[in-house]
Amino acid sequence: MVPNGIDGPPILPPGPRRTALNAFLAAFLAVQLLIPLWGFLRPSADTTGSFSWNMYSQRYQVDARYVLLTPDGKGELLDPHDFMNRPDRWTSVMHRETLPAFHRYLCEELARRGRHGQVKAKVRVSVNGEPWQDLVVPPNSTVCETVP
Amino acid sequence: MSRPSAWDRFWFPMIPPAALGLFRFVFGACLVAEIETTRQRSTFAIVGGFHLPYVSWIGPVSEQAYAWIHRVEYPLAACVMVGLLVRPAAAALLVLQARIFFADQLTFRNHPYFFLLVLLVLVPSPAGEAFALGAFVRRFREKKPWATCLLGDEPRVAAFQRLLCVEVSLVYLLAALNKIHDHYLTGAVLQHVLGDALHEKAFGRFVAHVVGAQRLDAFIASAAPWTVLAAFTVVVELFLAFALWPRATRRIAILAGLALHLGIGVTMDIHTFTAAMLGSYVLFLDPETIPRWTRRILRN
Repeated sequence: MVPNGIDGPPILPPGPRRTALNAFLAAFLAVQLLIPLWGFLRPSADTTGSFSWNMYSQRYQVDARYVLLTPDGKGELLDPHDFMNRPDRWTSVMHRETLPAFHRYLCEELARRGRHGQVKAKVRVSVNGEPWQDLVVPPNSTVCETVP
Repeated sequence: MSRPSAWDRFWFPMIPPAALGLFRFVFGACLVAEIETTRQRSTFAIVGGFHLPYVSWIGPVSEQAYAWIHRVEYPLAACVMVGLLVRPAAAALLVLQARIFFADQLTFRNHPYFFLLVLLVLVPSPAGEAFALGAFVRRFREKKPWATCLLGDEPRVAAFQRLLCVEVSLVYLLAALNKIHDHYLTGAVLQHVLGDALHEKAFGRFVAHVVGAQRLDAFIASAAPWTVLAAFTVVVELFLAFALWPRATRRIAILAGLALHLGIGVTMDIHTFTAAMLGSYVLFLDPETIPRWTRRILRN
């Protein structure tokens, strides 16, 4: 062991084990610093900010309205909760990054249920009490379409 | 001989593994307790329904695999807790929990993420060398003294214990930095989150029973207590990020952390993360503290 020259414990000597440990430490610390930084830099409306340790730190309000416009011209209000196997997590989907995937699934599921038409959506979010932002631009535009 | 660098003196001293072993025991208990919660809340990982994959090659699991994974995790977490085959058990848990965690972005929760990171550090670490059944039996058979059986017979590299300390400090620091904005500091976020929790959770119902539902509602509706509480959480989290390290501030940091986490645990029914974070405080103690206390208890 290499004593540290002052009162203190011995130090693991240089060698393959210390090299491997250094690599592990560097990789771990890099991930733990860079990924949260990425979450800090991205707007909350764009991304969920997972891996950033943002625990109960913000208020994210969602106002979403989905309408299925059927071929016969009728409009039917859709409840997004009906399309999630955990309805309490549906607001986690309402970010710019994740919403397109939900819209694709929404139309696929509607088609599986035999329901066809255009899905029009108005989705707006407010982060920490700031003015509402539209995630579907322009509002009430078609986000997906199912055909028989 | 040249003096080792600050990096080497921080990460590579050889220290007793006792604190790490004690933390391993507490963390193993938290793992056992968290399995059912994760089973209920990670159902996005199951085939069917909406999925938001991280990468296309990690797909959802079948219902049978989902149930099997959570059943198998119990004996593995118990092995980590008691210190039997710690490395393979921790490695297997890491793989199984990561399989569920990364099956879908919507299964993300901070607690399982923290547990994954801890498991990642525990796998290569000497956490199974102290307060561990396997090591105890092995040393007992070698007729070593009781203290050695419990505490280990040689010092181990501090890197893994220090890395867990750094991770805990980072969690506190980043949690605090995320909260430094007007909307949080006015108390509005806490009013919304804890207001709901006080209406729904057992502690809130107890308080309503004692002081009356109207008084509780009036408290929730008023702004001042939430502003104070918001400032308290930010100050305490920032304090904890740094003050657990120096001996001079460690005691008060532990008390502040106890107040913070017990408050969270009681009001929001968040128990396993509370226990894991509080359990991690032993990692910040001076390396000889746990061995000294243990020998004192054994002598008495």
